[in-house]
Amino acid sequence: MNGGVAWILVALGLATVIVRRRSAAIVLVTAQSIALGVAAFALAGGRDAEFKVASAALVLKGVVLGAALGWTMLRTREPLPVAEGIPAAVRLIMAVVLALGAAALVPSFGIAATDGDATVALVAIGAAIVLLRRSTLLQALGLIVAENGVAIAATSAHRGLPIVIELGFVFDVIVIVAVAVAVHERIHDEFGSGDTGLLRGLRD
Amino acid sequence: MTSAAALLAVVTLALPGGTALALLLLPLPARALDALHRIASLATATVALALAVVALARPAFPYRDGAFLVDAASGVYLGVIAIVGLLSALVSPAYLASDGKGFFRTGRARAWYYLGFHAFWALLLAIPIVGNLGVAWLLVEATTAASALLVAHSGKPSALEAGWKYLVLTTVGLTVALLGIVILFVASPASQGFASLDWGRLPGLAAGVPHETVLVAFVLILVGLAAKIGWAPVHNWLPDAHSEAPPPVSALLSAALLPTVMLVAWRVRGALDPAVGGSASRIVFLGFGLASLAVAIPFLWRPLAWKRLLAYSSLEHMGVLALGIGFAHPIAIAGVLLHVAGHAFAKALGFYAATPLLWHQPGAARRLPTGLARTSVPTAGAVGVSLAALSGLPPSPLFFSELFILLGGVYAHQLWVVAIAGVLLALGFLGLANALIEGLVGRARSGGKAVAARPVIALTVLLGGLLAGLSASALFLPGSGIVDAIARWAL
Repeated sequence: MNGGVAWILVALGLATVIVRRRSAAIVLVTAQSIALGVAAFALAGGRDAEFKVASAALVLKGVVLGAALGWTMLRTREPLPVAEGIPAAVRLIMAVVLALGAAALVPSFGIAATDGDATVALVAIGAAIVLLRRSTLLQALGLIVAENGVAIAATSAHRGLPIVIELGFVFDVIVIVAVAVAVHERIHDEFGSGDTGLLRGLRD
Repeated sequence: MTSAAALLAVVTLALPGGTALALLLLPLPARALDALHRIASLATATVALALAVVALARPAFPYRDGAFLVDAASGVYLGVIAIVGLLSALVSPAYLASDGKGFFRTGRARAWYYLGFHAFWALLLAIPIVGNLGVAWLLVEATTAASALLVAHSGKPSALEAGWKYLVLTTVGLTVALLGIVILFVASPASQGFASLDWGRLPGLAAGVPHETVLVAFVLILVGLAAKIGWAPVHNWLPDAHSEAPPPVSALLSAALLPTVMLVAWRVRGALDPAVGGSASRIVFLGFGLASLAVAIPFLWRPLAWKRLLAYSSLEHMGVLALGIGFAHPIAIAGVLLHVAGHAFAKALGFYAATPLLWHQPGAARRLPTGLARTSVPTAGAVGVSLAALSGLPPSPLFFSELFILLGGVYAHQLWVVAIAGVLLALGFLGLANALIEGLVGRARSGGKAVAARPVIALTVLLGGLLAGLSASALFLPGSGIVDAIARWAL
């Protein structure tokens, strides 16, 4: 994968850590997912048909998830953006530190160093979004960002991943996000907001 | 065995999968849904048990093809999942009858519950017999989707919170595990498509990978799976999900899901050990084991709600299993197998007892039950058998399994780990023994309703009998063909 594209994907992930509105975050992650699929298509020239199918599945995943999350956002309007417990700048610093630390810990593993670093960084950034953001929809986006990270490695590998794994992986992500959307809507119905800060009933 | 195993494996997965689909598509009334659910569950369990018998009858000759690996470990796990799944299926209609407000608002709530249940059960049955790490990962991930809706099924705020935590935390963990798998695959010069991730070919895949890279991949896979197994310190979802899910689902989560994902971790260890190095992989398992025991034990001393106490007990027992796998000695393997089955039956009984218990003593939703022997003998019997077995009180099979696992640690020269684990297990025993005494003969609380005795007694006798049978099996399990067969790939 082109190094510039890999870092653009990482930048889109980092932007999701700090962006305030859910709509903007959905646009960023959808753009990231589609860009990843298009970048995979660009690599498909010398590869087999299975790789093209997998690339198409990545684009489709981006479109489907973006549409699903946009649709649920319209159904579960928040009067104000969910208040975050941690300021945006601190979230950004924490996500960057986590990403750099993770990338430093994982050695080179058979793909271009930039792609490997971007893979690990995006998985870390996705985890950071889940842990640092309070909106349920944003946490669901964090899952997609992390899965996009793994997809970078899968598409950058010389032979690609087996098609069964690639398609199964895309299908699993779609199902997981569909379930997340269903639970998010029920949380919104129950609490009047998708703020996970309100989910504090279970403590020991 | 070959054709029988292949046929049974396909039918084992097709039955619950087909049932889930039928329940989704057929607009049946509640009574017909219950009937279809019961019949399909009996058929599924029968076929799965038949496959387990086939696998255990000739443990030295596992069945392998492109899709399946049916070996002795598969047999033990299939047996456990089939029995717990069937019992959970049979008690589900009673739970649904007492359930009020739900996650699904339409008149199809019952159908959705059964759909989720059979999909979840099908996935659980598939994991021990699947022959490929990549497919195993897909199935484990899919269990999250199926079971998250079941966890949140009651629709209560606490259940929604538990379902959400479970969904996001385990998915993040499994993404980390997938990263490890991808690193292993991509880094290997021997990767040749899908079959490279077959359990039998994984050692060859890892052999050509630099040690540092394979070690990182192994740790990522294990840490990711740990989030699903519920090993400390990545266990945060476990107490919430187990305590908020419907009792039949809690039983499946604790008795089947956690150990089944652990089987994937165990197979990963067996396959990657030569490349990773025995001491490194041992440290990872022993670390998770001790951390889980240390985190769980203090909670076993607290007057927690009944299902929450059982949830922390699950954390403790997953820690014990991690130690057994980490010690990697034949006697410890015997302990692990016995522990998987003993924990499953004792924990399932505890969760099944929750429905009559909360009916009889509603306060048990917030604190430990007390004085049951004076107010409801059947409930006291179920709670007593479950707690006595879980605490490891002789002649519980968990007493023998923990003994085997600690002995395995001694033979593996891990004396410090054995000493620490022994102290923690003793403290855990005292905590649960205190809960047992309080629960049975403490000060009685009233305010609840009378319990229908017959189903509670039937479940207690059945599961108590299975536990007694397991205790008896402790006499011949060490050194058996089943343990020898597992030792071939696990040591």
